[in-house]
Amino acid sequence: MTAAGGRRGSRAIDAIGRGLYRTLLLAWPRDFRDANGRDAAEVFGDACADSWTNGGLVALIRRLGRAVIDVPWAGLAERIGDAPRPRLFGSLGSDVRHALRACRQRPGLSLAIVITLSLGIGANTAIFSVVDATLLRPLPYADAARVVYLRTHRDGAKSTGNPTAEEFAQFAPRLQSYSRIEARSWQSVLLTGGNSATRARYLAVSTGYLDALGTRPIAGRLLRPDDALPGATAVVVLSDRLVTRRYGAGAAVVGTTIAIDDINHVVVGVVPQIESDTPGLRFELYGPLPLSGPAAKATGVVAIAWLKPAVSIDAARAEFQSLGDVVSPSNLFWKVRELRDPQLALLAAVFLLLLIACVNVANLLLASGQARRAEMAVRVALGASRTRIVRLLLIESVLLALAGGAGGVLIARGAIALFTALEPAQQLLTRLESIEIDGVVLGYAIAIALLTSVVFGLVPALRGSAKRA
Amino acid sequence: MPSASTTSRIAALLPLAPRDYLILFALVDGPRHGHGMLKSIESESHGVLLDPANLYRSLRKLERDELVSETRDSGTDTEGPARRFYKLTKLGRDVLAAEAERLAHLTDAARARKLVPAPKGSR
Repeated sequence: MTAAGGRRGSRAIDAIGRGLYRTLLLAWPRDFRDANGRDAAEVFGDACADSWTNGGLVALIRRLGRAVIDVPWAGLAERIGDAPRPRLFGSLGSDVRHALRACRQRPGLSLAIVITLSLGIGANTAIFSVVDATLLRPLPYADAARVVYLRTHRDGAKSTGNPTAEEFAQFAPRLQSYSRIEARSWQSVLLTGGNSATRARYLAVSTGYLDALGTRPIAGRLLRPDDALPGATAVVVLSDRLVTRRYGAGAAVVGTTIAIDDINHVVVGVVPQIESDTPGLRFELYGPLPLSGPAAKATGVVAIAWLKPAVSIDAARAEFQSLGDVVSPSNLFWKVRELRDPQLALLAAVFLLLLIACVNVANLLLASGQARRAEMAVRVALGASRTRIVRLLLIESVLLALAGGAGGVLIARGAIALFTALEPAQQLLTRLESIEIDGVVLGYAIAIALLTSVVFGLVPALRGSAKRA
Repeated sequence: MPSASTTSRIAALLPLAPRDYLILFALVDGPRHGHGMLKSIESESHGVLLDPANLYRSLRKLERDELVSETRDSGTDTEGPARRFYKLTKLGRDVLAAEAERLAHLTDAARARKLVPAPKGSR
């Protein structure tokens, strides 16, 4: 291996390690991930690259394997606090250890099963994540069926992106197809002052954005156009959740000054907690979106527009395409429910694919069961009950399915990245940015992994434990 | 010589969990970032694989106990400017020294009972 090739290999392993670790960290509480997730994933990526450079494939697999087992467990323990682990089944630990040993003793078979399941679960999870993001989650806006997202091509690149705030300020007034056009951009900020610092999500919004969400202030006012002018006093609107969390329920904060990233802002209003159109993100502070100056050039925004009732999507697209002098417009992405049937058909198809994978894996396990007859006979002779042997074999299936599930989630991540990069043409899909592996999708992956383990494991387990003459 | 109040604070923090001891020990020579700590712990402890999430969870606890603090100073560990570095506080160094002494007493007792051989050169 050349030095350059080795460096490339290390970089790839670093990136894979980070990606895997970020997925595993989903088991940890959100506040921990927000505060330390990026650092922990970076450290893990570096450590994987070290393992690869210094110890080769064996050291790398050892580190990855430990992380796959330890990180979700530790995350769950962190979620339930320091409560002692319940002793549900006295011998479960030893059965799990035995099952791990059994899988290690047949590395080829285990690997084949894990890869087969990874592909099945990965395809399922990827399609489910699309269905979840586009069909299952409602948009928080009124008239959601008329909402389109305006996206642009960046610097001649093939993939689409979001416009900058400056571009938004230039094209928004020129578009006639919409009854309303708004923009938003979020960032993580540090609230300082007082005795403690708190991290919170700050949403910079165009003036009418909060109004478009139907938000009414609980105290004070919403944002005004003059708040965004250069030289205006820095103002902010807080969510009541943040007020309760940081200042105590019902605290009179309007008119006070708070430090956001060490810059003083005057609190002008308090609003109820708003549901975001990006699932999983909860914003707690709202400020004016800068529409001119260096900040506007550097800020990417999500531009959301409401089509006028009489305007067709094609006419709106043609109008957007005419903005060539300001931005390089992309296709519009429109929320369309008509896509429900094709997506559900696709989900059914990948589910069938998973079933085929299960049948293949069950066949592999049945074949290996022949080879393990002697082992099972010894267990029965030593007094193991049939239930115990079925449980042992099922635990093996569960472990293989969970490993397949972890692989599946990685494959799904790759598939989603690829899918998003391909930019399905025209109005095929909305809300590409919200297609992600979140708690719901991860829960789905774990659920189908467990279901899979029963489907492919039960018959071989019953056959393997049957008394023989 | 630590003051009476510091001594009682040190006593309240002992014994240290093995992981916390290793993390504090990794910071003895100066500030380090997460990866630097992980490498040091794994080389000093002969094969302990510390998980980064657990490392940062422990660092949060140690920070709350005022045994370590975040710093911008990269010390001798200069792998990347954008990373968070941690350093031992005065209290952290005192607690680490007290724990090392406690462990040394335990090791001496084990030697006296011939559980472990005496170090080379001391016989």
